[in-house]
Amino acid sequence: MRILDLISGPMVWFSFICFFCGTLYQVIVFYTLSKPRPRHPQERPRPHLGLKKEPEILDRTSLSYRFAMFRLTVFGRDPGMMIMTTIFHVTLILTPFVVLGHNILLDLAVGISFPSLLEVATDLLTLAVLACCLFFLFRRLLVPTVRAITTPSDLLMLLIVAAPFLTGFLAYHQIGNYDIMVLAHMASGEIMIMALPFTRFIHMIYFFINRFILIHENTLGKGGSRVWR
Amino acid sequence: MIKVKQKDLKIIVRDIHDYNYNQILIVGCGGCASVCLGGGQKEVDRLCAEINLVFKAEQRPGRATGYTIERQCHPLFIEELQQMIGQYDCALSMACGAGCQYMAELYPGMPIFPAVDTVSIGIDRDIGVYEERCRACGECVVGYTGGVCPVTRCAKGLFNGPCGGTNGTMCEVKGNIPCAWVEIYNRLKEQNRLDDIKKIRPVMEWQNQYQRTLIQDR
Amino acid sequence: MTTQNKPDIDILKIREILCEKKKEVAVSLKTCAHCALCADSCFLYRCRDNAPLYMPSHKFINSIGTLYKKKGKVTRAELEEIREIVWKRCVLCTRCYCPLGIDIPSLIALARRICRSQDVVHDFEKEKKG
Ligand code: SF4
Ligand code: SF4
Repeated sequence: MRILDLISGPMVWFSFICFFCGTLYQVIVFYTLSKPRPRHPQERPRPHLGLKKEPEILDRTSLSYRFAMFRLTVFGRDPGMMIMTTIFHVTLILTPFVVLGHNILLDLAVGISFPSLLEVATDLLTLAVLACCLFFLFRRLLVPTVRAITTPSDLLMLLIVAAPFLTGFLAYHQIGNYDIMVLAHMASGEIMIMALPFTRFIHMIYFFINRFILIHENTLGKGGSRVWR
Repeated sequence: MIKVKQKDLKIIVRDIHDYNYNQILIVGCGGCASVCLGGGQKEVDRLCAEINLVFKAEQRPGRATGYTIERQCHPLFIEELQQMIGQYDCALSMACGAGCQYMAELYPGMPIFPAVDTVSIGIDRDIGVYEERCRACGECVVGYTGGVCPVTRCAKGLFNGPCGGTNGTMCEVKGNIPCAWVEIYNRLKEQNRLDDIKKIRPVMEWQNQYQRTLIQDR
Repeated sequence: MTTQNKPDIDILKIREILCEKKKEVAVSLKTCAHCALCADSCFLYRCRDNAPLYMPSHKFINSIGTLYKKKGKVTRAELEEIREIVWKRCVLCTRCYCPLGIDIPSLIALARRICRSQDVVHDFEKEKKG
């Protein structure tokens, strides 16, 4: 079967190359189209000497204060979504690395492998990804704000993410035609990897650029160092 | 734009404690106060949470609620509060002094307290770093001072400077601020306009000593 | 304000402005995961009964997003609609929060600039608020 050879051989490498080159390309483009801007040294006015500092009315280190402030963040305002999206992104990235089958193939191909988890565990992780996908799907269709900006491409993206996990799960449990499932699993996985740097998944790269490198009010870490030109 | 800074929580709380106000409305402003990270929705939310914590710690039945409007210096937007303001004992305004006073004027029965101090008219040097540039003196002179305001940036507000006490390039009043008149001199020199500095300027009629009303010709 | 008897839209001019910030706009539009988490950070959204129209992402997708997707080829009517969005539904308080770090205010400001270049502007005196 020629198509099987293609998908399980060169296409795998091609998709990885595509992913790495695409990511590199995006990063390079960002660096050429942005410029550094040094942060202004922040000189805080010194408190007036002589005036004794009175104790604060609220203990800002207390747990209840921190919890109240945490409630104001996006986690506190939309906890359901934030919990689901955290689980989703962690399992989405983690699962492919800890699947025994993947690691065996990797070992055969290049001689390295990641630690594998028990197959029951990877099964559960896969189900978690799929459950999150379902959650997102319903959120897209039911929550008015999300529906207002949903485009067909969002649903397509969701499908591209869910497909490799679904087919992988079905193939592992030998549901349906095993050969076709494995083929579909590999093909959909490759599509996802190739799509990463060029489609909406680009937020995987730009999350870090936007939140750590670009300067704006919500920059994390040291406060960023560059601005768009 | 106008820069504001939140007051110490203690002072805000003292204001509302004195009269035992329980239902507090905190009104944010989506204009300048929001831009300078001083009185936008985020700060309103934070102040609300803090005041509610204080109430809880003191076991008072009070509750603070937040609401942010576009601008507190315009009747169109303040009117939005009309339906809700009756339910509250007092209001805290997170807009500049102007917005706060306008709200007080439009709701005469309502005690209004400022939750922020209006600090300056300034520029955004960096996120959260604002430098004063103007004191609204009412008669702008930066045309002949090379674009440097002597009212704001000279410690003595001299119109015919420098004072003679210039310490190198620094101000004699405070060591770590540059002398505005040195900067004025340098800029004028670069533009070949040093004649401007020699002209004696008449004393300023301090227009901002009394309340001014601006009527724009259209 | 009526803008009927105005000259045609200068598409080249719009493109020129878009081109200056092409990558930033393109990347922001693509990075947006359409997750709606920014909704709550806009005070207008909360004041207007959580109407999706006031969600920051809805605003930039339908203003600068439209301009970008049509490569500046918009009609005056479409530009008028964009004007409604970028002036009446956003006051540029610059405080929206996007977990993915998209700088929404700068995109809306760019849309305003494009509108201004075509004489499609908001008259604060004559118009009621949105
Ligand atoms: S929070 Fe950011 S990524 Fe999500 S919809 Fe808003 S702009 Fe887009
Ligand atoms: S800048 Fe506009 S969209 Fe963003 S929070 Fe302010 S009003 Fe809302």
